[in-house]
Amino acid sequence: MGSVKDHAEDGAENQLENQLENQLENQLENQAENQLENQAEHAAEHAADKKSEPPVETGAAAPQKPEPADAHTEEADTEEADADTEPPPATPASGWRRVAQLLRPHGTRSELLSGLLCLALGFALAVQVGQSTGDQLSSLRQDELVRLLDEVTQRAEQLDAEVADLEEIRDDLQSEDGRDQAARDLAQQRAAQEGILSGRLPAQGPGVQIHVADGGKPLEAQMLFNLLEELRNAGAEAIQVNGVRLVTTSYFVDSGGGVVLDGAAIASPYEWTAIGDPETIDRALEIPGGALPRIREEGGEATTTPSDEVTVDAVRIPGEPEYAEPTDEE
Amino acid sequence: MIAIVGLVIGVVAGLVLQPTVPLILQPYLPIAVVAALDALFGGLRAMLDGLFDDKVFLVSFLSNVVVAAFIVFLGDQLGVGGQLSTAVVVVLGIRIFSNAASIRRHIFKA
Repeated sequence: MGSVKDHAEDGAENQLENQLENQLENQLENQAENQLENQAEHAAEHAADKKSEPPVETGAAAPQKPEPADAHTEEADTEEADADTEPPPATPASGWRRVAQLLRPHGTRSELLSGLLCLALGFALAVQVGQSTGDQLSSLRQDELVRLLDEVTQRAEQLDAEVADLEEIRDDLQSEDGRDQAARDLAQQRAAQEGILSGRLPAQGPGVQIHVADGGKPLEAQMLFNLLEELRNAGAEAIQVNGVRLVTTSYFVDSGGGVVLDGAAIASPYEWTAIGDPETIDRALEIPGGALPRIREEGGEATTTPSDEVTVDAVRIPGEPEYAEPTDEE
Repeated sequence: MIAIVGLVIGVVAGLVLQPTVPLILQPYLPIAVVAALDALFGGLRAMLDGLFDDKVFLVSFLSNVVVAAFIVFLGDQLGVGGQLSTAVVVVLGIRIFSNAASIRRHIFKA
């Protein structure tokens, strides 16, 4: 390439190339400017921006427009940074500056429109947030609600069954408790009855006071025993003589001048107290040839005093039976 | 700027008024909101790209909302409403992410 011809040729080629490039550039710039003006954008700045625009990497969501930069520089396609591709005629638009520029109100139709849409979006957003935070159920779908309802129903059934079980158990326990209580009451009642009959407990009720005293000679034990038997026959339930409770094991024995009752000597006068039907007892004792007439025959004195309220306060702790054992009932 | 003001006013109005969403709209509102968010991010990106077109924004905003709601409605009719709304949310979420990445690249150059 050392010849003059070559040089001349080179010069011509260069000229031609420069011409073509300039033409192409002007054409494209004009085109771009026209389009941008149509969009009511700031034409000059945007045209400058366009030149320095890096190619969009991700799939284009917005409509593509012809980019002048593509026409005359191949490097712009590959380079990421826009600042150093080509010195733009206007100020190099950095990202922040562009944001600031976008934020500046222009009062154009598009701004108003997007403002309106953003208002709608913000409203819907706030409403939805309020909705989903306020009431969880209302934001659920129908099938989800149905499933939820099923679950709740199932759970309710389970709980109902549990309630029924527990109520049954409670009723069982209560009735058991009631039975226990009844048994306790019965046992207490029995204990009271048997305590009175066995002489373990003091007792009071209607009955008779009997005064028996020696006459000329001391009364025999037989006489007193007869009296006791008559009282028992007449249905006396609790009997005491001179402070000694008469029970099933009680005995009278003659001993010298006196009488021994259950191992303790007692002497005249004998003060009896018997609880029972006063009339029956009185009649039984006074029957001709009965206990009291025979005492009187022996010279002793015997009087009965029926009373509505007599008290047998002597008690006897029953001993443990030595031979007898309870038989197995049932 | 007006857009941001509008957004703030909308949020405040929604919070203050607390309107009850009609029962028919309840399943579609969240999806519609996500779709509108997608359109908003797309518009923001286009704005930074210098490609913003109000007509495109309006149409994409409305069509996004309507299509998303329609897909969910269709899913409800087919008995796969839950799954389909999940699918819509996933797709829109991916788009929002990619748009946000593009915006980030514009602003931070990274």
